[in-house]
Amino acid sequence: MHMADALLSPAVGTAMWAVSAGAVAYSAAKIKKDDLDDKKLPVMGVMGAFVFAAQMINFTIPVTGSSGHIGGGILLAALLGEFPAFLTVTAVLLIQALFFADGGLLALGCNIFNMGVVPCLFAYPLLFKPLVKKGLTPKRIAIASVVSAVAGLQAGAFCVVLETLASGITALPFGVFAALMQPIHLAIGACEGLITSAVLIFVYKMRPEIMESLQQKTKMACVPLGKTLAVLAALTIVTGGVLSLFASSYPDGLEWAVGKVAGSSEIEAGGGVYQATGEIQSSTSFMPDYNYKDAGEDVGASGTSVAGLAGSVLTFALAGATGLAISLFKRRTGEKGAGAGA
Amino acid sequence: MRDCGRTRWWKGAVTIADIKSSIGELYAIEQLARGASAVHRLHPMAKLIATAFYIIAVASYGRYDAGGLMVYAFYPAVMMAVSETPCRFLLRRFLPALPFVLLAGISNVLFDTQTAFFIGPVGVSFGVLSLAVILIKAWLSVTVVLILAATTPMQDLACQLARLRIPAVLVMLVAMTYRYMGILSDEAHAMFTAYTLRAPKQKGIAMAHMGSFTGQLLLRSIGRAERVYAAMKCRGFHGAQRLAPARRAAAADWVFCVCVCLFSVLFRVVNFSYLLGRILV
Amino acid sequence: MIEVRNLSVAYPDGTKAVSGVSFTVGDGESVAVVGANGAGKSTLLCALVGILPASGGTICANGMAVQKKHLPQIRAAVGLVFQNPDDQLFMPSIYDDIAFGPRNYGLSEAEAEKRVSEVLAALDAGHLKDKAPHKLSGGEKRIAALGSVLAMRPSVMLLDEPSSFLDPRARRGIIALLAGIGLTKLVATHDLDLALAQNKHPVAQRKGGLFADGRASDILQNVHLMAQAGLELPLCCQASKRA
Repeated sequence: MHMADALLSPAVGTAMWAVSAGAVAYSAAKIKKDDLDDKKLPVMGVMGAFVFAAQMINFTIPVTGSSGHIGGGILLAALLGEFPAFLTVTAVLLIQALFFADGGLLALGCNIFNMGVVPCLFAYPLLFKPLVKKGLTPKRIAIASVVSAVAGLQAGAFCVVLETLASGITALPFGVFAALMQPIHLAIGACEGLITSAVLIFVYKMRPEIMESLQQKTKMACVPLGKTLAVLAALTIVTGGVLSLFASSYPDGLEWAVGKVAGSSEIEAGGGVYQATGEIQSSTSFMPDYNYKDAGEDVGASGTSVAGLAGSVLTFALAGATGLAISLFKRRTGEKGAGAGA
Repeated sequence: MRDCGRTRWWKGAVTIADIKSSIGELYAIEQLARGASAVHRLHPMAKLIATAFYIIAVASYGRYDAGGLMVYAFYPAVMMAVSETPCRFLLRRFLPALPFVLLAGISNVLFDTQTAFFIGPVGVSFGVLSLAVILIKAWLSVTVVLILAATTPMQDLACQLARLRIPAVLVMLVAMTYRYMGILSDEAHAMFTAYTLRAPKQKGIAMAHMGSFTGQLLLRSIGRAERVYAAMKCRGFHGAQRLAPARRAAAADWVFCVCVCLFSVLFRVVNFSYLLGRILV
Repeated sequence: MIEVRNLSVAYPDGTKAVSGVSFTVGDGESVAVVGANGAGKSTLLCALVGILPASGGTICANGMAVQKKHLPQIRAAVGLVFQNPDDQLFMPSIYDDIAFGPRNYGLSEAEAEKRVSEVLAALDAGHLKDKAPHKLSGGEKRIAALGSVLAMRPSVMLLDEPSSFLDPRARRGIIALLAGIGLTKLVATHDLDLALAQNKHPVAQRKGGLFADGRASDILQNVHLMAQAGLELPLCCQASKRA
């Protein structure tokens, strides 16, 4: 479910960065205030590593024989609490983005939101916690895990759809895109939920104090709904602020994005005719008014002409040649150096 | 041992060799980061800013501007060559990111069928053009991040994160996650091996055993976390800590950074490919 | 100087890991705690620095009772080296790991760096400074873990199985290295060669209780006593007995 840089516009990417940064700052301040940062830090760090290790073990899904692995948002939240879990997921995503090119730098904000904020800060406190409020039993743990994992993944997948459409990179109509994404993630969510519940029940049986202490602590200290709503409000304000900032500097981009999401769903209902391409050209570029801008009406005169095509191929070849030349040069001087050394 | 080789992920089977090789992959990039080329020597902050700026510039391109994007290939090509980062490594890491990108890209081909231009008698639709743009963007943005990570050791990057005012807890968390992911993966691998040796007919781990298997791994991890915490406490730990300060950036580092940013903006405004083409054609 | 009087330690689930143990380690002395797996050696060490609370008896380290209010001073003076160096080395580089303790005690970065250089020079391990812990060999990890404790300049060192997981050569190296550290030492081990090689004064422990305390040669060569502790004679002694 990792969002990719290639599918994002800078406006959506940076706006989501701002939202996620806000959530990170809030959570970090929160666990510092609750004095959890020194006691929980090693557990969080090792749990982050556990997610990596657990993702290596695929499992066989019964009947289909296909395989999957767990994401871990709800699992971590149930073991660590929502804020430490969110920071742990963030750390995992950051490492994935930086060292494994999973997602990407620009998309990191989206990914933190979709896979961190949504399951840890929304699905867990709003669904998991109330479902086990009456006390932990294996049955309640199972129900809560499956429900919150499915809901978390559905919401996360929906965010992916919205972010992609708002970026205007894909021509997929909203309805089709959603119809593709949601069922896939329903299956993934169900698996994730089942595994989460199996693992949690195992932990609960072996070392009940790990989960019990967390549930008691939150019971004592909690108005979870109110707090979640406060976070939600803060996030909305930040998002709104950042988006309007972009809107004022690049009016085309946002109007287009908003119009498209709303418009295309209407069109989908109306029969699936796609919007005129001319409108799309301006998309979300920084300087929208050059070359392909009018491609819809005036194809030949713009950058798609012979000159443009030949230039593109040439530029690409030139870039490759430059790299190759440097490598060859380096290799030769390296050999010479080695030769001199010997 | 029919499955001993590398099975494909879509077959749904994981083999021992698979896990072993992915553990190797975990720190593969670190091996590269130990190099000593000019790119390795650049200040991590300069590289980080340049990379971020570059990615935003690339992302800002419109849906159909394949030509304009081409010139951005120079930066990764040069960086790759100077830092001696093997192309195969970059390609291997790029592949897992592909499916989702392709889904969006190919759907453009289906939905955006208006013809954009002709190459000889063959019409190229806007959808194909946008697929090309998406693929180029994906390749460029993945490559530059990988080059950043392949030329900068983890602790230097973590240090810069702290300088960017990312909360100390998160920086420490990233460092610890990175530290222990190999150890726990090794543990998972050992458990997995022990499991498969006693269940030879089965592919992977049966769903029924997943709870106790993963749970066992989890309990071991918690046990380790408790010991790590004790070790930290013994050395006076109270709250997250700063990391070793990196060296200061030299003028050359900033020259590099500013150049990359400037070129990113310049070529965003000037369509280099088009100009080149016009001169020649 | 460590004085333990009638110490008992119980785990939260009620298991008694140590009960009624008393012994004294004088300044500059080097004592081995020997016993089989599960005898309570590690638990004892953890209790000495207050990681596990004592459920009975008293511990006095460097003249201070091991109580919550004294823990920062006690932990600065009494360094515990864990059995598994991977538990002890958690920072991204060896430098950061060794500087971790000094920084926590408020040293400036320059001072911390000085400590790191000192320690690495003393351990002859300067080449490890910028390495990542997961890149080290078992022996190197052990040395780095030792350094991370030495950087706090403790007066007493507690070592939990310092020779485990090592190949014979690295094990020899660590034994020699420990012999060269002139601090008060308490070494928990079932590696009797290690105990014999450098400790004048071992205590043997069985199922949580201390049952022998005396000179190394007396205890480690007493077949009956060792069998009771679930241990065997050191190989060198077995050979001499046979001969």
